Amino acid sequence: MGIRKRNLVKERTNTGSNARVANRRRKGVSTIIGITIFLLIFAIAISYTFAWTQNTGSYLQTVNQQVDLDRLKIGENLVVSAINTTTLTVTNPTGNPIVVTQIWSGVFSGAAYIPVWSGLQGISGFGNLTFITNATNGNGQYKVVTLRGNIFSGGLQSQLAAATQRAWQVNWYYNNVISPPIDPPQYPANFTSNNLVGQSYWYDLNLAWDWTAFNNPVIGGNYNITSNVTIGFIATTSVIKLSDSNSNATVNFFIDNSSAVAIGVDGSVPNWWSTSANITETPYSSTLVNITGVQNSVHTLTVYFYSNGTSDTELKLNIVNATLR
Amino acid sequence: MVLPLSKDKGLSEIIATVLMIMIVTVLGFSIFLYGLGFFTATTSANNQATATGIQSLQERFVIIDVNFTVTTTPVNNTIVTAWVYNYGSTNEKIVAMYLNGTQVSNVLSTLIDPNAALMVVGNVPFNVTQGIPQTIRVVSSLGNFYENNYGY
Repeated sequence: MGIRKRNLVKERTNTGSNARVANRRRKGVSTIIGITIFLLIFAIAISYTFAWTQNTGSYLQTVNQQVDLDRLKIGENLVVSAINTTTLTVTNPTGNPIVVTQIWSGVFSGAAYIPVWSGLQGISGFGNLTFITNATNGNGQYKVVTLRGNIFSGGLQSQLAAATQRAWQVNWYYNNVISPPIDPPQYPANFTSNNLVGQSYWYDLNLAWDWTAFNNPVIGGNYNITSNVTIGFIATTSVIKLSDSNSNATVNFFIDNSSAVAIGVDGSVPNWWSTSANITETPYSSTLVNITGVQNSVHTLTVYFYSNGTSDTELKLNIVNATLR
Repeated sequence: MVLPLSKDKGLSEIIATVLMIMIVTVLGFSIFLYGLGFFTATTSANNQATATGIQSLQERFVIIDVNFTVTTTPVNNTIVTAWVYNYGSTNEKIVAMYLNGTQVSNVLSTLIDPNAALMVVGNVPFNVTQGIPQTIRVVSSLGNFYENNYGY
């Protein structure tokens, strides 16, 4: 009985042990399946993360490329000089080559408004190139388009405008009246298109000449002084006021006693140096003309001047707190 | 007396284990399939967004010139013509144009090749004022735009 009991206990013990072993084996299967599925999901997540990272990398690479393109685009500069309505010279003042892809010129003509030149033409650094276009309705105004999307303009008119910047446009008049004109200079009775004899562009309005020799031509041609002749000009320019609104810009002048001057600002109606004085008496100086306005404001300055040539002629102009534009 | 009891207990354990394996397998594969679909969809969207973003970055265009034609028939009508140059590396489609914030009507979608210029035409139901700068904006299919002022 004791032996049987022991055997029973042993059997029971053996049976429990086997069951635990079997249970451990079965538990391992589900764990392996779970781990396998987890690993699969993890592997997929990792692989897709690689794909996302690659996408982000590609995007950032493109951003870098475009930033480089922008940097190169900003550095581009071309000077467009028109020679005539079909030919232009393009100068590259930078050290980097620039590729021109299109040139536009002419006036609007609907769908017929197309580039007058197209292609791929590089201009080396500090180099220039002349383009002969096939413009049939060209107006001498050109737009040059580069490969990097810049548009540079230039034309015949802009060259003249550039040449006349910071200059006085001077229209010369010549007449043979005995008495000098004393009417307001904006209506110079003797300064009309009938006796307009020439045009100059001066960078300075300080002038002097000697009338001693009556036969010396003053303007050119045979426009020399005689006792019955008046020579004069109307000079126009733009100035930029340098001082603020608390301080005026001023113009003062000096003239000889056989000349007269009047200065108008922004189309104002000026009198000859004084409303009451005799314009042919003595030299006048320190006569101020005020230009009012805020800093950097632009004003038109008009100087009327004439001389009847009885002595040496002189005009000195001093502009304070303003500069020619 | 003890042995049959042990047999019954083993059977339930087997059933429980099989059930557990089945539940783990079904749940696991469900999560796996959901994850696969999620990652596939997300990656696909990410690919598409990246490709569109790159294409958008590479899209570059500029207005070369603009013309305004005020017509008398119909009255109070202005034809707006813009020449757009594509200096990007991809084709681009101009889908809309605006004049001073007002959408220009009858603008046809225009596909422009790289390094080419094309005309974009439309009209607005008012007359533009001479001497006042007019703000023109052209918009591409990817949402990029170029805007500048032009005189009439």
